[in-house]
Amino acid sequence: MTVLDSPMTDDVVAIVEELWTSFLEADDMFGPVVDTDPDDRSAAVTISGPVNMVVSLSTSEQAAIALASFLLQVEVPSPADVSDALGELVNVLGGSVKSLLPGPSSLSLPVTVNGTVTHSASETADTVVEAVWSGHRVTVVTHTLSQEGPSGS
Amino acid sequence: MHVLIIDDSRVMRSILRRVVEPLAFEVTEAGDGREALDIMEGGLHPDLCLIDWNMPVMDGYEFVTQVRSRPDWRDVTLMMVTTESEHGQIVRALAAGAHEYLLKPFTPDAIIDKLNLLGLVGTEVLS
Repeated sequence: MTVLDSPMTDDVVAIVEELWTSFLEADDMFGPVVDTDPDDRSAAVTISGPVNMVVSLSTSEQAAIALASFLLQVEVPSPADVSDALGELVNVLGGSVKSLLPGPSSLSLPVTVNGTVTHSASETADTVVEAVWSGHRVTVVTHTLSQEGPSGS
Repeated sequence: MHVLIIDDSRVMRSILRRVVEPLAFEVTEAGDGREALDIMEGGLHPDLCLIDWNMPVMDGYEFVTQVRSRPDWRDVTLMMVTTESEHGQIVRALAAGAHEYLLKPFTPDAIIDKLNLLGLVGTEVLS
């Protein structure tokens, strides 16, 4: 696991750990990375309120399919299932991150993209957590927004 | 016992289904509040609804409000299962008529504990 340190880091790591143990049935977020494919599938949610933030999750295509297969208990998930799985994971992460921020705030519906979520230069990456699930790297990033939302690349 | 699972995510509906089916619940799924209301207006009278908050078309709060406005559905138990964690929103949902509130992510045991509190499963299923 790799972590970019910030005041929120410990909380975000705890949030990812909780998701890993509850939904992904993983004992921890550590372990060797077997899947070395690039992160080419992403999902993101936006938190709007006194603090505007994007929470994103990126992983490889192979990992995205494996996650959907695991969560749906199907051998071959459809492309829609893969998007749904990443979207729901980031939705849960976003909801938990939202609880750390001052309110009232709202959480957008998740969006999924092929590629990674990019941000303008004025936006600050708060936390980067590189976790591992079943040999796949899964990167969770929180970004404080200035004005504009995220865009896919 | 019949449970109506209302969530726009097929993944989440699948996770919830795997928790409640072994408890002898019959399961019906809906992708949003409007679809759930259509199913109920079509004749399904569930014992329990597990309801996400943030959904397209009709969200979970509106669904709770609609169900509670119907006297013939007053015996339906409503449980929010959502990422919506703000205290004010939780109070709002409970005031609108939800019986219980569970935050995602959850463990199967957390769901079962809530169902036990609601009197929908016996203590023999508690771990």
